[in-house]
This record gives sequence, structure tokens and C-alpha cells, in this order.
Amino acid sequence: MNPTTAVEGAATVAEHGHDILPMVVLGVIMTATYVVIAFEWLHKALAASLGAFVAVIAALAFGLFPIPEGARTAYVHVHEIVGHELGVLGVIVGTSILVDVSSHSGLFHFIAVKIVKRTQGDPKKLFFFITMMTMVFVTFLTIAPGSLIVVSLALVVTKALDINPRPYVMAVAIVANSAALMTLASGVCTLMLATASQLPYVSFFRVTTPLAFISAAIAYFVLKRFYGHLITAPGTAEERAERVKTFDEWALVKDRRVFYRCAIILGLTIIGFATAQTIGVGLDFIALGGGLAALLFSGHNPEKSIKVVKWDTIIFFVALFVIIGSVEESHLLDVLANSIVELSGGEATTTMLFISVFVLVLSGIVDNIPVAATLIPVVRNLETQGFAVDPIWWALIISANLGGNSTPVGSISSVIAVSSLEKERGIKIGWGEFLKVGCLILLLQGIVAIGYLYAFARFDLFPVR
Amino acid sequence: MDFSDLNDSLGQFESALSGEKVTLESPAPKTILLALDGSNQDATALALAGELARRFKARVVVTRGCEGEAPEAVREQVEAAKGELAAQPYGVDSAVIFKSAPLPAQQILAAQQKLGADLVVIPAPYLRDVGLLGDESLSSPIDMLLAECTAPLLLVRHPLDAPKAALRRMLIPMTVNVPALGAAAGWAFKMVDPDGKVELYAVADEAAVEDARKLMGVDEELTADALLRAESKLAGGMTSAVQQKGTETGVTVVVDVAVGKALKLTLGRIHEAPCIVCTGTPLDRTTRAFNRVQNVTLGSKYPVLVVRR
Repeated sequence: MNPTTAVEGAATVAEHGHDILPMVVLGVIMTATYVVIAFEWLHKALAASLGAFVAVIAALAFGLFPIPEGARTAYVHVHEIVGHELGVLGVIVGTSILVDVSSHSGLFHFIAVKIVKRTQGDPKKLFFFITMMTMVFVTFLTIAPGSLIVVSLALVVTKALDINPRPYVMAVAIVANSAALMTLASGVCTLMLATASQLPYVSFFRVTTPLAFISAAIAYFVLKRFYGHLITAPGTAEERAERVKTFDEWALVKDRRVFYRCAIILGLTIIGFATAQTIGVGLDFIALGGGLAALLFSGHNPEKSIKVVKWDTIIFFVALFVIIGSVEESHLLDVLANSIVELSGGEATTTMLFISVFVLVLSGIVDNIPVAATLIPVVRNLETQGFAVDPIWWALIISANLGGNSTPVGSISSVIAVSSLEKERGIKIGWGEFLKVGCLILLLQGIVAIGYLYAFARFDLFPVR
Repeated sequence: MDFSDLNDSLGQFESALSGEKVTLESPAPKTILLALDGSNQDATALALAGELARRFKARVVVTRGCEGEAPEAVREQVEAAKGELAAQPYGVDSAVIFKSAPLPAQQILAAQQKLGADLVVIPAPYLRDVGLLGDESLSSPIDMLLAECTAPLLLVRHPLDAPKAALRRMLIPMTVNVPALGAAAGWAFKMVDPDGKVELYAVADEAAVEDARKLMGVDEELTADALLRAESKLAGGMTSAVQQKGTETGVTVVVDVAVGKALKLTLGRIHEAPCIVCTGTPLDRTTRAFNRVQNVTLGSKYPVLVVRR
């Protein structure tokens, strides 16, 4: 963003009675928090909590928080901020329990080994199937658990076949971000934005699912070209086929009942997501229902299953919402919204494309969740200005997910893949290598995504609510 | 990044790639030898032998070992047990046998060999109520049978109010590199209720690993995650075998892997609900695996099947 424009925007807001100092202070707190998260100077939950703590103090000091009706202090507004986002938190808690129970049921591991056996140890087929598995597993399990299963499979299988794991692990790292676009529930970032925007589940099949396949195909072909010389294996095809034949998927089954139950609960939860608006409930209700069913019927110890909820992620989200809620009260995000409108000339399609490029670039540098979370109130502000914001929500969902492809810290799948490869096999994928391949893929995906969004806007293809 | 989930997932895949193939035996028992001893475990032993005979369509031969020749009172008690079995609604084919030998265990061994009995059901400790010995000793007759009997022994540790309930749950404590485990699991599937459950429970023993680490001079600290991963890998072959058998027979199979003090965790798991503990031991009594089975048997309240190979 042009700083001059921002200041002009701020000045405009100042004319509307908003002080610049609180905006600057809270803007600095938010930016500093994001920088600490980006460089991993502190655990992200801790960094966000610290940021939230300081932001609340600043907001109280500046008297930014209104005193809610019936409350004695302005501090109660913090509870209102968190309460406003309970839907997102409920979705994360529910899916996190369901996904954890499902990913530990052995069902996906079982399927993975069955699929690997079909490759007969052929490195090229294995590369293709790893890519496809990433798409499928992330679709059903969300990015982190889905990538983790496929990365571990890639590490174990490539070791058994004496194949270089690098291309396979990179495929998981990058393709997972495309897979997060498959459905409303395929990624935490997608879920958060979908909950905030209340976009219908089925609309994702029309808008983001085709792009998920297109962007995954781009990643597949670029990676195949880039790492083609490494997608080879020693020995004869017969020897490899013989080795793969000894893989025993039944060794992965802990409890067949949990298998079937998890498959049924996952299926029902997906149907629930698809019909939530029709039956008049929130996504959090469906997600928590799925999580509850997993706890009741999986046969797992509920205490253990509840403990495995990524509570650090929940803390991170709560803290993030408090920071953003505090910043919102300073009207800095209004300035940002106004600046975007000014820069894009107030034209809806241009605004959508502008946000798309901005998020594509920024999501590679900073975790895509804070980026997307910060932009939620901005998009809501644009809505109050009369913008048709659905195309902007779609642009935000697509860009926030694909944007993570450019750097090894841009998305959780990249972090999992790169750090697992280093820990398990001692192979380091440096920033240089990742940037070279990641940026090329992001560039191609970005061009296609922008063209795709433009075509949707130009030919009125976005679903109408 | 927290690598515990990664370790867990890697361990699972490694078990699929590295698990030693295990073949489950399919026992077809025709004769069960029920060796009573006059203790308060007798009623449970009789009920279990009768129920297993019904399931296997096998006959039960009742005996009792004594110091020297069996007195009349003992013979009457054995005849009464035979009568009790024959009077069951399902009518167990039963008989009585007495063999001459100086020691009770020798008489039981002789009877087993004479009959070619496929299973021996026996109170343990033998000739004493469990209350007198508690978990101190299995008694010398049982020690001798464990050393010399070629047929599996079903050791009845404590009197049970509902002995048949124990047949709803078979618990197989996983031991490393014991071929007898496949045989023990085969017996578990043979004995379990059709709507019952077979559990395979593997524990990576922290203390044993720590000893080995020191012995080998390995500096690297072994975390619980790493141990769990290693144990999952080891249990792969057995897991595959029991799960496939479970699918084939329709019996529910649950596999669990844990890290900690092996004996404590295993006993804790056993005592969660009535069960039959199905163990496999090597023939060599000096091995750690044999010792572990003995310790599990001593600590268990529920009947323990010991299969030696």
C-alpha cells in the first residue's frame, strides 16, 4: 500500500473525529506481533497473546472500547470481541477433534499404503499418487493433519525404495495449499473466511474446487520439471514391485470399528456443512456435532481426544481476534479499507483483484491466517460502503491459501514438509531452493487465479446468494 | 514444530513396511484336561473348561494331582466335577483320569501326555487357594508344568463370579520376537465370544530401553515418541495378523501401543475388565520374555493362557 495514500486516508478518518495516535500505536502493535510470528521469535500463540494483551492495554488507555450496555467497564468489550468470533472458534475446536480422531484411526494410513502398492514402486507414478493423495487427504482432514500423513508416507516409502524424498515432500508442501481450496472445510484459513463470510458450502464446488485442481496441476508440472532428474529409483522395476508388494496395510489398523465410524462421521459432517444454511444452523454447530460424535463413537479415550485439540491454535485465534478487534476500534482498518477503495478507483472488480494480489504476496511472508483475519473487518467495511463483497471473499480465500506457496514459512504444509525432511533424513531445503520453485509456482498460479477471478467477475459467474 | 504427531504417523507407516510377518495358528482342540486341586479356584476352572469344551465341541477329562495315590475323597470330588459337566444343558462329554507318579505335577503331565490333551485348565497356584500365596508364587507344580507341559495352560488365578464373562475379552500382551505369540493369538480367536473382543497391547518398556541404551553406549536420548514409534514398528506384523483374522472372523480387534513401565501398564490394562490374558513364551525359561510372562501371570487376577513354542 502507498504510505502517502494511507496517511491521506488516515487524515480523512481524522477529519471524521478519529485520532491518528491510537491508529499508529495499535497498528504498530499488530504489525510487531505479525513480524514476531513471521520470524518465529516466539511461539505464535504466545506472540499473539502478548500482542493481544498489549493491544487491550493500549485500547483501554486511549478509551477506544465502548462500554457495552449494562456493563460497568469498557473492558467487557474484549469479551464481546471474542464472543463475536465464537462461530470460528467452534468450527476450529469441532473439526480439530474430528480430524484428530480420524487421522489417528489408521483409516487414511491404510488407504495411503493401498494406493502406494498400486504404484508398484515406480517413482513417477509415486510422485503422481503422492500429489493426488495430498489433494484427497487435505480435502477431508484439513491442511496440517492431511499433509503430515502424506509427508510421513513419502519419507518412509522413499527410504524403503531408496528414492530421493525431496520432490515428493515438496509436492506435499505446495499442493496442500491448492487442496485447501477444495471445499469449505479443507483448511483452517478457508474455514475461518467461510464462517466470516457465510458463503454456502456448495458454492465452493463452483468457485474454488476447479481452481484447486488447476493450481495443483500447475504445481505438479512445475515440480516435475524442476525435480525431474531426482524422480528416479535404483534397481529394476521388478525389484521395486517386489519390495512394494511386502508393504502391509493391515499393520496400520488399530480398530476396524473406529475406521468405519470415522468414515461415517466424516461423511455426515461434510453433509452437515453442505446443508447447514438450509437447516438453519451455523458451521460451528455442525463441526462441534462431528467432534462430539467422534468422541462418543470412536472408542478413543475422550480425555485423550480432548487433550489433542490444538489448544495453542485456539489461543492463537482468540488472541488474534482480540488484536484485530482492538485495532478495529481505532478505525485503522477503516483507513485500510478506504485506501484500498481509493487505490482501486472504487471499482468492484479492480478492488477484488487488488486485494487478491496484495494477499498473494503478503501470505508468503506472514502466516496467511493473520493476513486473512485482518482483512475480514476490512471486507465487512467495504460491504457497508455498498460493495458487492462476495467476489472479494472468494479472492481472499483463494489468495490467502495459494499465497503461502512462495516461502518455506508461508503455510503450515511447507513448515511440516521442510522440517520433517530435515529431521528424518537430514535433507535441508533452503530458502533459496524453495523460493526458486515456490515463487515460480506462485507466479503461475497467481496469474491463473487472477485471470480466473476476472473471468468470474466479467461473466457474472460468482454464485448469487 | 512439535514432532510427536509426525513420529506417530511415521511409526505407523514403518510398521506397514517393516513388520515381521506373523502367522496365527488355528488350534483345533479335541481334549481339555481339567486339573482340579480342591482350592477355591476350582469352580472357575470347571466353568471355563465346560464352556470352552462346548465351544470347541471337545471333551473334558477331569483329574487331580496328589502327593502319592489319590484318596477316596479326592476321587469322589473329581467324579462329582465330571457329573457336573455332564449335567450341563449342553452336555459336555466328560471323563476322569488318574495317573500314578510321585508328584502332582508329574501326574498331570502324565495324564496330558496319555490323553494328548490340547489344553490344560488348572488353578494356579496349584493345591492352594490364591489368597494364601497371593502374587508371590504360582506354586511349584505350576512351575514344573510351565517348564515341561507341551500343551497350552490356562491358569485360573482367582475365583471369578462370572467366569464366562472373561471369554468376552482376550488380551494379548505383545512381547518381542516370540514365535509363540502367533500361537497365543490363535487361541485367543478360538476362545473368544463371537461378539467379544481381542486386544493386542504393546508396551515399549522405558526401563529396558534405557538399560539397552546405556549398554550400547548410545548417547542420544530416546524420547517417549521415539519409543512409541519403535514399538509400533515392531508390533506391525502381529497387528496385521490379528486384524486380518478379526476381519475374517468378525471379531472386534483393538490394537494399542504405549510407552512406560511395561508390567504396570499391562496389569492395569488387564484389570480394566474381566478377560483371558493370552501370552506366548519361548521354551527357554532363562529368557526375559519368559520372565515377563511369569510376572504378568503373577500379577493378573484373571485367567492366563500360556502357550510355549
